[in-house]
Amino acid sequence: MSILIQCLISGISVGAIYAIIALAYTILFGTLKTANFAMGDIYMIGMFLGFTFYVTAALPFVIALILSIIITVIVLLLLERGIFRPILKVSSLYLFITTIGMATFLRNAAQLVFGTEAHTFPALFGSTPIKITENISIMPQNLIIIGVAVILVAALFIFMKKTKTGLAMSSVSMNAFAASLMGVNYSKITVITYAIAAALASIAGVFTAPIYTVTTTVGASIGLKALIAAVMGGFGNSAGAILGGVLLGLIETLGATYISSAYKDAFAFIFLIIILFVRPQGILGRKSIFKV
Amino acid sequence: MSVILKVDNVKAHYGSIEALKGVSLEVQEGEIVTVIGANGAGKSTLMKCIAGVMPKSDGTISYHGTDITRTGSDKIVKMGIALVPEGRQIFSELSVMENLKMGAYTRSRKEDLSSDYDLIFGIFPRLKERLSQKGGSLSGGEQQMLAVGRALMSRPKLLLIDELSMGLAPVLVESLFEAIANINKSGTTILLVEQDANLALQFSDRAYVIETGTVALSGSSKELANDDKVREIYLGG
Repeated sequence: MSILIQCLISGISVGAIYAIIALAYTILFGTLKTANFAMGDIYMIGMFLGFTFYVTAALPFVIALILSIIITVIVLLLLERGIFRPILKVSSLYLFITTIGMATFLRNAAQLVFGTEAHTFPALFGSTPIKITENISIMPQNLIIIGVAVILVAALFIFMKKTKTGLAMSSVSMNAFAASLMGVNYSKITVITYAIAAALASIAGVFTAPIYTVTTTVGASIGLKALIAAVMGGFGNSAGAILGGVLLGLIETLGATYISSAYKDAFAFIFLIIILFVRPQGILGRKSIFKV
Repeated sequence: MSVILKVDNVKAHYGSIEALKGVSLEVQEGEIVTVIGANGAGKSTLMKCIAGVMPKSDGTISYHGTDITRTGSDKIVKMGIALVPEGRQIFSELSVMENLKMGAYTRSRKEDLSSDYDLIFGIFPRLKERLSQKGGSLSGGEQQMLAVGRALMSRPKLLLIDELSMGLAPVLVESLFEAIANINKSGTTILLVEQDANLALQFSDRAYVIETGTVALSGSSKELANDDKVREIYLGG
């Protein structure tokens, strides 16, 4: 029993990481209808920036976090303006492929800037597990990540529902043409959406740095898992991204514990295939109500 | 009366297909002007060109004497032109209230919108009953009311309406046209594109007939309603 509960706790904390990055994917796809496969490597850049400011430059954590967010946002916005936007004008298919290439480019550029060696990021609040009962415990860092995920999700939902800009983003996601007739400036919404996605990815990067080894390849697998989570939940649906992330985390952890840890990554894909068979639109994805 | 909108020799393309081959028209302040024509004549393209959501390849459009040919739709809405698009284009997952809020997007955050809501619920009481319902769950007629109400939220001086009658029951269409006439009486100039030429001519001051991307005929709506050619082609004899 305690093994199961321990599994659930670890699963949820891994899932929280997937959920944050899945939200970054989903907000881009949901609002702008463009998938950006480079988000895993944007996450990696956030992580490296956090490492550089916090460990190498020894700045206070909050300052390191804020600097990482700002620089990651600037990097993604420059890519959007300089590369993604001109290519999108040609075709959205070209953009998909460009972002896949961009992921590889970013990984190699990061190796050039940060080097190829792996770094360790010290745990922020110590590495003594917090004991819940005799046999069940949670690492402080995992608890923080779950907390951060909850705060980010809540903030994003409030932003989307309660602010004028958030409402404009929702309208663009539903009907970009009608939104432009309301006077919504599409390129402004594009910039805001990319900025939010970059901020989410870099926050995830900095907070998970103590859990993973800081290497330039970390974004590839985490980014792929997050993409699976987003698709599973219903691509473009924020609640689905969170659900997909947590489910994926649980499946991996349970599978690794009870079946085989060697096939941990395979479980994610098997589950994705099953879900897409049963519900091609994802768990919470739905066809929008449309009347003519 | 002064000219509120002047469209001068406007051309527009969809790829290599020329949808507008040089359209010119004028709307005076306070008028209801209608553009009639067959499907594919370029009526909707013309409306999109005026609203700033379709690029023009030639010609000029001016509003109150200001050139708006290359002005973006966000600025055009702010200047006082709103388009009720063909097919309603309601935000289906947003509530009726949120749809109306989006209509006021260009207005200042501090402005009190309650008098605007009252005005719209005065014209379309049905919308008030459906406030928290999702736009996509409304009937076609209610969606059309919402589309008009949403456009009014920007307080337009010139309201462009594309196919008010499309897909709606005749009784409903008639009452919608009456609502538009009332909106006009309270000071909004109206340019409407319509396939139902009968109704459009009945409710408008002047009319333009568009055929394959150019203006074929124009005049007062009464004149055109009695014109043999118009009767034969658009009014069913």
